[in-house]
Amino acid sequence: MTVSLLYHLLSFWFTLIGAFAWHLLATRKSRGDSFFGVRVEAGFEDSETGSRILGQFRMRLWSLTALAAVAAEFLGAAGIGTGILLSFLAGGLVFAQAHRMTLRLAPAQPAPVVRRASIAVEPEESSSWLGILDALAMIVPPVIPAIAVAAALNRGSGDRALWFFLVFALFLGIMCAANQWALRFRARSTDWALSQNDSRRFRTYLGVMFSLIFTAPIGMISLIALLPDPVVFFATFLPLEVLLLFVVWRIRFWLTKHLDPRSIDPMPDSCWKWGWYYCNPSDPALVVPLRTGVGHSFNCGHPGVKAAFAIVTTLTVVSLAVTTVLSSQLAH
Amino acid sequence: MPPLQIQLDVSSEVPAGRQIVDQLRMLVMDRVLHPGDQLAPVRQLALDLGIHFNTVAEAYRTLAQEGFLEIVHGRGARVVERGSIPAATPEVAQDFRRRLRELVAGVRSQGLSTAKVAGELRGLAASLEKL
Repeated sequence: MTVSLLYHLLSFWFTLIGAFAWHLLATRKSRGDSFFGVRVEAGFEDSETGSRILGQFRMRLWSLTALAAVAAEFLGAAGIGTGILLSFLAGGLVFAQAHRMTLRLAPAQPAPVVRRASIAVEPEESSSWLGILDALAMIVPPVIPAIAVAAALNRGSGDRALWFFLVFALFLGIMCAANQWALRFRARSTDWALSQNDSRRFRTYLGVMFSLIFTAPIGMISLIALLPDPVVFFATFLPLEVLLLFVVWRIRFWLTKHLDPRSIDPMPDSCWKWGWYYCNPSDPALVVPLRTGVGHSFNCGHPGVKAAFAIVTTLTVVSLAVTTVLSSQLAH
Repeated sequence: MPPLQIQLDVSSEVPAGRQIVDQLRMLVMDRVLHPGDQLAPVRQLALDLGIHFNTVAEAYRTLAQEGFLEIVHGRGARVVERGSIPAATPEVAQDFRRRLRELVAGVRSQGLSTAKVAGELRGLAASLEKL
């Protein structure tokens, strides 16, 4: 009974996380003079039209999330995953709607025709700890599920559903590492902050924050493998989750405080699809900061990113499908 | 524009690589960049300008062939002291005169006053004499 209640609470909480993420993303603090991914004239976000777009976005976001949370409660074992998926999808659609409204209602602002770049190498600050953080964010997320895989192997577990989840967690960990690598080595320095050192620091913290966020589901899946008893699992997982959320909140606070509103990517608005994902095949950058709020988008026009997404999607769909089929067979 | 930045005009008909070569050459000739100065890595410059890596690499190679840069694999590009430059042929001076007149005619046709053009040329001459 207690486990069931905790499970429902967890499902509800995860569904809300998606909406929280979108809510925070649509903050008034944006890069350059931009609003929902569109270049606008200064002060548009505080205008009557801007406030109306933001208000409608929030109202629609939370209404749809409430529906998603209720739907997830009736889906049993698949509730957590479906809840997260539905809330993120709803947020993305509502954000796209706000993006389109901004494009229609805000006076068009042209993209700059002149791009600037520093030709000199800015001496790096004594920041070996940034390098350590980069390395940790690249190593820890794939290592946790790898340990769980080793533990499951050692125990000779025959639970095929668990194996698929572990493979999925391992892949998620590898993606976290790739994300940190892209932020460190394949990002434009001028988009994130006006100085190279500030940009480097911002990108490292951003990557660490995302690694921590993804470490939560990775850790959860891994703990299921290591601690099969549900009571021990919840007793271990929930305090860890609270601690993790606190650290993520602190990093996000720092990032919001240090987001330089003068820095923005030099590309036209048409590169931002739905206002939140970037697609520009002629741009060598793999990651670009979101124009609104704290976050980043992969360059979906880059061949490397396309290949990575294809692999992740295929593995996710296959692992989820097989897991669902196996779960239903076990239930019978 | 801060002196150690280059800019790329994406609306210009001049190719991106050529714009980089012209500006870097100008920075070296004007002694803004000195022998020994390390340049931004190809990858970083390409990322910041939003152009292909090969375009920047080709621009660096062109400048290396002209004797402005030294490219060492794994250590990037740095400005070097050019050796003795052979005296220009009369054709070079003639070509320079022609291009200068074309340029002046072009900006005058766009409305820049004769006095302003003369002032700019005097300023350029004064800065050249200081070199």
